[in-house]
Amino acid sequence: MAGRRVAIVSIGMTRFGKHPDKKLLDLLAEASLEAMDDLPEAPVDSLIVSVMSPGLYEGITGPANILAGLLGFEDKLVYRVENTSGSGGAALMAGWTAIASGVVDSVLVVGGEKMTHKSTAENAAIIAGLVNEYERRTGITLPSYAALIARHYMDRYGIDNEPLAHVAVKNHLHGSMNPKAHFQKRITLEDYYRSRVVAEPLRVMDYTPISDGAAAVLLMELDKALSYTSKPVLITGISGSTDTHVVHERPDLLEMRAVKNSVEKALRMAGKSIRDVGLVELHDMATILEIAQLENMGFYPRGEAWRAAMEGWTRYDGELPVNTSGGLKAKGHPIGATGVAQAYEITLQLWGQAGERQIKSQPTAALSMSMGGFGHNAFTLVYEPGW
Amino acid sequence: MGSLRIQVCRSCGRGYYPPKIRCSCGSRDFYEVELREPGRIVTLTTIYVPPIGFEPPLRVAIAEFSKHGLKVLGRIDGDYDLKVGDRVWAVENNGVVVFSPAEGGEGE
Repeated sequence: MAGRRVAIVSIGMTRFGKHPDKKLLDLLAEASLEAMDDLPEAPVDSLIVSVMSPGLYEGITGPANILAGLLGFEDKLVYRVENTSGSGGAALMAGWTAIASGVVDSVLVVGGEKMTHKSTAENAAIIAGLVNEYERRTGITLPSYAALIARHYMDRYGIDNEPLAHVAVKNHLHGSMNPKAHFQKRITLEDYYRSRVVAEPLRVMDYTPISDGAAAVLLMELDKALSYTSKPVLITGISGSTDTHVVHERPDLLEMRAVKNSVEKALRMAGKSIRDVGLVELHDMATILEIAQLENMGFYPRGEAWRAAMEGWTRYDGELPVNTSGGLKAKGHPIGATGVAQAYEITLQLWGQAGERQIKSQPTAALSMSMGGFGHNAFTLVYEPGW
Repeated sequence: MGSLRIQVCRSCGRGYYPPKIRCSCGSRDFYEVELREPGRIVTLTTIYVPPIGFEPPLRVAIAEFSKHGLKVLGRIDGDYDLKVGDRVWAVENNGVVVFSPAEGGEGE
């Protein structure tokens, strides 16, 4: 594609987890400063902030303006982007677009959420806000949708919970090697089966926790970027796609069309095929979603991806490392931060700075998929090392 | 027995519950029809940690119907032993679709 190219030049992230002594703005500022301190001479023309519900969580409106004020930003292009749990992916799209279009040369994209001061029930109610009004009246939530889809997958392909347990064990293994993950403890298959059932057939250990945290990446036009770094991570493909808002309107409940179509379009833009991709961060709000998304992205045929974690293919040292950060499952899911934290992990891995969990291969392309709702609205990015 | 009032697109024939303002085919021309046939359970779950205002265990299911390409999310409120593949009637009760067994039950 001709025109201005966009690269990630620096990154920052708070630890994900419980931060009782910090508010949303503290977390956003911490991640922002880490990204800026990484490359202190780099100019920041714009600040784009990804947060889902600062109003409901902390009574805040205009978090982007508050953050710009705290960071001493004046005469900048500043705004907030929201796409529920896929807010981070949407904010990266906004940042990419602002640079590719020539409006600005650099954008600090920072996402965060402060959630753990609310009870599980209050969190569930806030998160359920995006579900269609009729669906909500039945008592369904996004986690119970994952259970409906897990039951359907198990029936269609004749599996039990074991492949799901292996996804949880794998992502906790990755989290145990990520000093910024919410859970840094390995779990066993026994731990998985001991956890209580939330919605049949899914257990506590199938689901992401509720976390606080923030992540930031500094995007820059490539020619400019090369004056500040020798290791720009190029964003060569980026796209978004939506599925039906009412989940039962989907022709095939296991076909996540927003995921599938956003991946297809982003790869086409990058001029890559799925076989070129050697590193993936995806939206494992529940273990079954890692399996369903890998199939819908095209990495494995339908009905086959359940083998991936069991066989070790998707482990950090496997042929297709998936969620080396620990994923939503172990790293945590402070909603507005999640999509940005995926870009953080991909960058760290491509730089070879992921420490203990560093992948063994040197992929020519990596992919992240940030999803809003239950496959309602997905954003996919394709990354390539720019050196 | 039971019936469910659904919305059907006059242009492409696709059925909706709950109703829409505009069909995915672009049409805004709908009619309503009573769906007088049982559906089949595609998937179901029992929720042990439901949202505020609901009592556990809460059973929800998605049933598929042969007409209008329709699937509907609903609740299983009665004490029925329903599983995937079972035929069910769907009726609306206080704004929620409720499923009950269509075979071996009353009024097939």
